[in-house]
Amino acid sequence: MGIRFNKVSHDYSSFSEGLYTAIKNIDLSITEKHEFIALVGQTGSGKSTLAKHMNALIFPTSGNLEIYGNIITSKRNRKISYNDIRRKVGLVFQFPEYQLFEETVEKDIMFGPLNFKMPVEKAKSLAKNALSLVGLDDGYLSRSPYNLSGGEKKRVSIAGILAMDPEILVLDEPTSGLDPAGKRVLMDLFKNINEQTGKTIVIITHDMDLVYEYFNRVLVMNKGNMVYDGEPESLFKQENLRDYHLDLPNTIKVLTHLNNKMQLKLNIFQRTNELALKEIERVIGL
Amino acid sequence: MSYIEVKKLDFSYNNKVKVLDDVNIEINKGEWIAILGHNGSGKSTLAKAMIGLLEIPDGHIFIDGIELTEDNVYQIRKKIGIVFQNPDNQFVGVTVRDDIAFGMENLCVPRDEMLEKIDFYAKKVNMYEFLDKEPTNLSGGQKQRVAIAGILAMQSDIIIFDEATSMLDPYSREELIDYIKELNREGLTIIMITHDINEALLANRILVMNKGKISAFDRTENIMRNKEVFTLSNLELPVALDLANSLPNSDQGKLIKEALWEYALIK
Amino acid sequence: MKSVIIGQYIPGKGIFYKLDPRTKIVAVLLLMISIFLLENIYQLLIALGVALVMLVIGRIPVIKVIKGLKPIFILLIFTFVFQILLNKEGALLVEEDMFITEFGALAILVLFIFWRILTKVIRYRLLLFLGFLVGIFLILTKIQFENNLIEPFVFRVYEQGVRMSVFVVIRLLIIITLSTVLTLTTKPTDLTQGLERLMHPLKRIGFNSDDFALIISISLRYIPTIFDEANKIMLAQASRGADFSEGKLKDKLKQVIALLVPMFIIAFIRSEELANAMESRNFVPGNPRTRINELNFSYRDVFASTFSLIVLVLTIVLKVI
Repeated sequence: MGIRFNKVSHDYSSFSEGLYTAIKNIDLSITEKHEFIALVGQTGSGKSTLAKHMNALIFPTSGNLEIYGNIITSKRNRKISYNDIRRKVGLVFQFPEYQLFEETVEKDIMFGPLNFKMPVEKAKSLAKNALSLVGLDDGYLSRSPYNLSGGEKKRVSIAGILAMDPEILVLDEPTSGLDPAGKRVLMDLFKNINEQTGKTIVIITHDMDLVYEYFNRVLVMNKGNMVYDGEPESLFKQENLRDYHLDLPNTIKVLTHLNNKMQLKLNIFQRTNELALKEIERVIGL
Repeated sequence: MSYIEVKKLDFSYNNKVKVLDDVNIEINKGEWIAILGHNGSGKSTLAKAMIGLLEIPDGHIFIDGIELTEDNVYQIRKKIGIVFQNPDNQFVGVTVRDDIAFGMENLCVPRDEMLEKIDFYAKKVNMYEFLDKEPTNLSGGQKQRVAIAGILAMQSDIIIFDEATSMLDPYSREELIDYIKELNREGLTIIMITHDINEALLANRILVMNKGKISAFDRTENIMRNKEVFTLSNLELPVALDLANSLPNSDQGKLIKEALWEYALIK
Repeated sequence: MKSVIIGQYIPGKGIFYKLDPRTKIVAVLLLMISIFLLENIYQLLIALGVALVMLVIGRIPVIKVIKGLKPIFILLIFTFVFQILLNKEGALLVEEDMFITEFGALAILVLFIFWRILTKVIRYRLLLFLGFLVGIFLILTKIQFENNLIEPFVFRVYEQGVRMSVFVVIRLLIIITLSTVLTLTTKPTDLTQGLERLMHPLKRIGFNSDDFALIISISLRYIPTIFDEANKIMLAQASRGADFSEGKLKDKLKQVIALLVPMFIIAFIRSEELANAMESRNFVPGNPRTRINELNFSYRDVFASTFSLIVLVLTIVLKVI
């Protein structure tokens, strides 16, 4: 089960560029449980296109996708309930706050579950749960979505997808536009969901620090191709990182600078600030 | 008098909560100032005040010695321009050329002069090949550069950036910041409202606002060293400085701290 | 979106591309008025001929224009049939008894099913539709046995009916051709500017044509942006189960609201931010502004406007005589 890409390509035609291939021959396997995957790549590398295939929002131009046993090809298949797939694989877009439209926060979060034919009472309780998951209290339920701050709006819209109780969660830059504290809250939330419920989570991000700290599997897209699928640390050890237009995490960069400047022999591969600090203290003999 | 002076600036929407409370600032020509603070601290309101977009605040604002009043807003706006956060919502023209022309059209600049200036400033921001392109064919970073060209074409030498990079991808962001660095090297005064610590570190001085008041306005280094003030900025210390602050003050420790500070402040 | 030629600018060469938009707008107006003044079908046919000649001179591919007329074809056929059925003047041309019998009704049903199946297989939808209509006609007139469901009625076509329907259809064709040429060869921004200059005199009665034109050009500039945003919102709501292609009517209403409300909010935010940006660049509504884009008259414009004027005068003369 889960999601499997088999030589999937997707062509777009756009006003500006005519016909171009957004993703080429992608082979990828995402199991339905326990995975915590980062999807990175510069703008235009095909990350968003890849994500939109995962819940059958768009179909491959060639190749096929297997999502929870359903085979998705370029042709629409009347036997497949694509809506059902979208409940199982929840996709949150970047700037999801733009999708808020209901009179109250509660109604907006319930929109998803109700569309998937869940009974009203169940939808209500799912909404309540989802809201507390994103760190907002019940008081928000009756408020209007438009009076919330940017960060609160973002959390409400994420709650809207969580309330659908998806099995796999795909999020496109969920932390963009948030302040550092807000970023941490969300990332810890996702890590929590992954560890406690076992749901697979895929996060598109540009932040290499987050990738290094939180993830064990990273997918790198470059110009429509998937060029890396593996552990973050091995990725950062590669020589050709620049070719993928990726930066190194700041801990690695800072420790490298110290090694160069002060001829130290620090192990630069430290995932967090705390670990980096310990490494420095170790080397200067504390 | 300093190039930009703000004296006793007060402002509230609808006479309720004070959005700006007794703000006093002096900025020198050619400085790079970063403005930090939580959402709602008054940063954007201050920016709007300086460019005359606010309805009659209390207090005085002087740009290059001239006081900002209702009547001479147009003179002031020749000296100072603002680039907003959403690249799409400030692009007025149907093409790049039209957009750069917009400000000059409003000032009734003769057509020949406009054409010359457009070519010149488009080249300056590396958008000359794109003059006939429409905004849908441009990236966010390119649109922001067009906005800058439009401001430069009015011969402004002060530019306010109100979170102008926050909607851009990292590559466009870096490109834009590199360009802004160049502008500053050429002598432009830069006032940058930002949530990005790396951008803040590029400034000569940092202004930290909290609930409409100024909490601190000091050299970048001093702000970074002041824990209390720094938490008000709503930012996280960069990794290098976080490590530096946590290291002991032994001889070795001091050396490493120095190296870390040097790393953090490389421009 | 791509094949709808009506209203869309396609870059090209040819005399019409080089005309000032003001000339084109005025010419189209004058020519349209002339068309409405013609009463004689032969004059109208000449006018159609002239229109076709104009297309050739302007190097506008006639085939493209015909293809672009496709959406209107239904309207043209409808108008044609309407006139034929309702106009009862002149000589009687066709008289047929029509019967709706049980068998006939069944036959129509079978024909209908046959037609729907064929449309999925063969691509000539128009021909199939016409065939379907002919089939119904034959069934209604020829199948006379079995029980009548209603009283037999008589289907009549009169000379004036045919005459008028041809007249109206040709008129529509010419008008659509003229406006298609206008929008095909004129960039929307030039069109707006042309309109703005032409409306200049209205300033004296308090209508600010400059601001009006600016509003239109800004709206035009945002059309692609708005399309993109609508698409993004649809995808986001689809991910929440609001699939815009499936669902009952009641659901569809909710789905539409889920699309429109966010679009309105985005529009409001946009207006405020844009207003700030424009004001910060010294825009004041109503103040005089210079323009980067110039409109230039040339000898071609004089020729074209004179031509249209002559046509108009001729038709007035013809009418009076």
